[in-house]
Amino acid sequence: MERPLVRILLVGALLALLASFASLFYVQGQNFAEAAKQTSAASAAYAVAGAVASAAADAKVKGMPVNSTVIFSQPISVTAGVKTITVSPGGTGRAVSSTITLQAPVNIATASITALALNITAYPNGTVYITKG
Amino acid sequence: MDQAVEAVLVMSAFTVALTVVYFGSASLYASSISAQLAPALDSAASIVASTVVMQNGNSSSSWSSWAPSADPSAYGLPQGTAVYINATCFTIGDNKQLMVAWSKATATAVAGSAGSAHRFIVLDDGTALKLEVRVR
Repeated sequence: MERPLVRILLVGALLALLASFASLFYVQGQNFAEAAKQTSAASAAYAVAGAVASAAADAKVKGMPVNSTVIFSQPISVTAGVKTITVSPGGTGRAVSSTITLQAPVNIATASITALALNITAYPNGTVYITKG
Repeated sequence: MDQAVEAVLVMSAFTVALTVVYFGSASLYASSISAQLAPALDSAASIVASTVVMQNGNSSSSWSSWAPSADPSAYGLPQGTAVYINATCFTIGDNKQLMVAWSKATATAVAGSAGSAHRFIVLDDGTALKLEVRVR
């Protein structure tokens, strides 16, 4: 085979290989962006649920109301009721949310808030109020 | 050098380089996600510790009859989450020394990097309880 023809074939094959890798990188990037959004939502949901459970446990042991504040690096939307907390990080374009259902004997007052900081007030009987910080 | 060999070598080098970059970036992504999840694991451990504390309060009789469970669904955590709970109750003996009254733990310890939470509670009979939770 003539050398120029081999070069053309080689460049063509390299370009095809490059295109397939570019496609792989694109898919990987999309998957990572989606995973990052989900992780961010889950992380925020666990932070809120952890703070709620911790405040409720402290209130029960101390026998008096307990206040705590949770601050986030970006605004979050929280929807809470009875034992369920749903958190959606705001300002991320497509809405991604994460829900956690506590098994602890708590009764979270119904709330729907979008804020950068949350105030959590827990009472010894297990009642928890989530308000805008 | 033979043209065919030259072509194979160039293609191989190109493929290897792109494969290395692909898997390198994948591992960077994975470590980035893991770093984001680390605080969530601490919060999950806090949820477990708080659930146990709320169920037993500061009642010594409740803690005495309590059996630790490593089942993540008992705390609202996803299946597959490894949970380790270790509770130790301390009392002060006649010689004014701290003694272990009892200790309870789940069967399997969670080794390596994990989220953790600790609680220290004074119970109604004057004993003190240290609760350690690890989640991964």
